[in-house]
Amino acid sequence: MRLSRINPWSGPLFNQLNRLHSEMNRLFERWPNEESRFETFPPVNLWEEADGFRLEAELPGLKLEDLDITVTGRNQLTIKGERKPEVTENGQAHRQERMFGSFVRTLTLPALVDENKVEARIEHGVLHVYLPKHEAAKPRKIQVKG
Amino acid sequence: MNDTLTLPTNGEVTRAGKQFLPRVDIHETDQELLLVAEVPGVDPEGIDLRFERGELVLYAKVKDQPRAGNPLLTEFEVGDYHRVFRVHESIDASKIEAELKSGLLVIHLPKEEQHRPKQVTVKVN
Repeated sequence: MRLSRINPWSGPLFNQLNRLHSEMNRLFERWPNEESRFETFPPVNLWEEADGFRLEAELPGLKLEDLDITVTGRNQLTIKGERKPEVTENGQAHRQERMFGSFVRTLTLPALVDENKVEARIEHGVLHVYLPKHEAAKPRKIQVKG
Repeated sequence: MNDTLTLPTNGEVTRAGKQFLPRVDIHETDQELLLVAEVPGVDPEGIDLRFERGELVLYAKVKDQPRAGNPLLTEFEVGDYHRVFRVHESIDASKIEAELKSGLLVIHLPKEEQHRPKQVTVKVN
């Protein structure tokens, strides 16, 4: 049957729809929308490396001394702090897109870490944390005897 | 809405790479407009701020750092920031000052002297 060769998900009409769809997505992605105000804070990126975990969190306006970073049970990382308003003087607010208040975020890592060797620093509003894996959790190369 | 600072309705983004609209707070006092923008990951060299034809144009370039390893959580994307504000108030462009404080860009736009409200003392006999 020739008909079975026709793919209903291609062709000029569908391409147009597809383009419209991605165009709409692109439009909304760029906007700091209302919903995103209630998402988990801070947003975090986390990577696993052979010897440890690397975390980055966007915390504009915060300094390391404003944060309370703890590791409990060798695999739970907690970041605590408070966002304070930058503008305190009297006047009229035209836009208020930034959020304020205290926050707590706890992440469970998929392996044990050495809590004494955790390193944290803030660079231009981005928190960087390195959590080296506990000796027992590191990958081990096994020698195979020939 | 009676905004002193509004977004322009036209204008296309023509720079490559991911771009985001930074979140801002805008505050107006008798003396100035104060704009606070969130630009995490940007250092002072990455800021390109211009005031031209009544528009405040902000470009902020993030330092690109390649990442290795296995991603477990990806909750934010890294990219440059871009936003344009139309300023209706009469701003003294020569006195605009900006300061970058741990990922926050604080911009002071002082109003022109003659547009500031003046206190008039009324004598009572």
